[in-house]
Amino acid sequence: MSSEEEDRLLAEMRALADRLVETEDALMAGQYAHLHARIAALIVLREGAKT
Amino acid sequence: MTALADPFAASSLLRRLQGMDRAALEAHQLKRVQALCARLYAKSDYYRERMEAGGLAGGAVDSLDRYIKAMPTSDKKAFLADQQSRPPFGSRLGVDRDEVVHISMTSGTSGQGQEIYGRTQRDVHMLGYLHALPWFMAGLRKGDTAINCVPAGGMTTGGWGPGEAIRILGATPFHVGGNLSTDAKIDLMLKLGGVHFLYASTNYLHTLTEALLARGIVPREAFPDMHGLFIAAEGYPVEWAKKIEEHWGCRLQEGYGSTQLNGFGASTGDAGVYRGSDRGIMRLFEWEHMVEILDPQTLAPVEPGEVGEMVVTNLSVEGSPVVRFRTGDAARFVPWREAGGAPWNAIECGTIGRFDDMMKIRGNNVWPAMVDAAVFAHGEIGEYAGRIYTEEGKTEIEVRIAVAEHQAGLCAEDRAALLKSVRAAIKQRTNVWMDVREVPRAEFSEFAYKARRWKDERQQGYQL
Repeated sequence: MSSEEEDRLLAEMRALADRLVETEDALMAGQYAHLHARIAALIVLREGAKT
Repeated sequence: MTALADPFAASSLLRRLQGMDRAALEAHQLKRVQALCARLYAKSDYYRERMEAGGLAGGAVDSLDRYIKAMPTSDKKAFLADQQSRPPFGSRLGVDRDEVVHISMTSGTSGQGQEIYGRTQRDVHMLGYLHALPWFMAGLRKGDTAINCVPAGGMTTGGWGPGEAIRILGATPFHVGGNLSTDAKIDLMLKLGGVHFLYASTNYLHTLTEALLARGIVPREAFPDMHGLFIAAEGYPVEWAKKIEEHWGCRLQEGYGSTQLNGFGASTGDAGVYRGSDRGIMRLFEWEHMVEILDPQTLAPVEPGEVGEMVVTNLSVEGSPVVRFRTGDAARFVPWREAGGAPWNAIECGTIGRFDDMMKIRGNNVWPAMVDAAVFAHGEIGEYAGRIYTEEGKTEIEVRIAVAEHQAGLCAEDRAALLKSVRAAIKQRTNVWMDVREVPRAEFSEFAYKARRWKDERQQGYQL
């Protein structure tokens, strides 16, 4: 898999996680926020190599 | 007292689980057991040998009944032997070695040795979830401040689960256990500007409450935002639980958990630990674990209301799963039909014991939890310890009690009456007369998290 492909997949995953965190299930909300933050962190830590 | 928000109203997942019928739950369990056995047959020499010995050829399971009849049980001794032959995880790991990212070890208090469990990335999330689930039901929510009085980190399930749980619920944790004195914990709690949830062992909640009262602090006044107390690990009397709720002004909930369960396997939900003057129940999380409650001698299921040994199968653990593992934990069985809604069996609150803790005293089966209940039904008592010994060929039992610090003003007459009352309560619960005497509270300063209250020194009395 290319680096660009990894970036694209992570962006798609973040978009999906953006929707999950809107859940009305309070038991799942924090877990989705955790998942969203993991994906966001992976995107952020890869950004340093793009500049 | 503040009413808890209904956890089922707040979670569609919980509502779906609650609404399943028993047949659907068992179908789910069977599906998970089939996947577990198929995987372990392929990946674990330990479990493959057991399945072959029981007649589960190829790891195929066609019904839960067949699984229970054919799959041999395991126990701590078997796990330790497996670990010794294939260190560190034995051949029961069930996943590739490089999938292990976390380990959990048992505490070793049995003296037999420590079991080691290798956990995967998914297991670590489940470890957090299996702590978060009962705490969510007990009212812990995003934005809350949670005090965790159990020592965090290290190599135990109870060390890592709380941190993962509070994080994935979106609450703010203060892991004060093991690194602050009780007084320092109180000082910190007073500075936080609102505390909403507290997790502690039964014994430590008692110690903390006693220390607050000794400083003239009324918990419900000092922490008016507190809406949930959650305990695990030790038994207690109903009278104690009621007093705790009165002091703190909020509900007390209980969970049953262990390393083998990768977290909690049962809790009171939001129902509290008592119903009137009766003990409450903990509903088993049967969609995550199969829990059989069996006669430890015959391995037949116990009848409703009877005490049996909990035998556990993990349904959602990847690394080092337990399959029909004999926990040695003793619980009173409450069948789902008598538990009030939802298809989940239950166990009685406040009385979980260990079969290997049972003491045979003058022909009576006595569990420490029975004496705990008798002693701590007296709110004046801060701590106690028991010793069984032999003198001139006779079994003697000594119970040393210490009056709580906030009760230091008791007069001599009241103290004498207290000793008499405790002695009678112990006799009533155990059928054994024990000698009860008072000692200074400072004698028990070492009792902090998991109380070890009993010493059996009878064999030393038999030396020639």
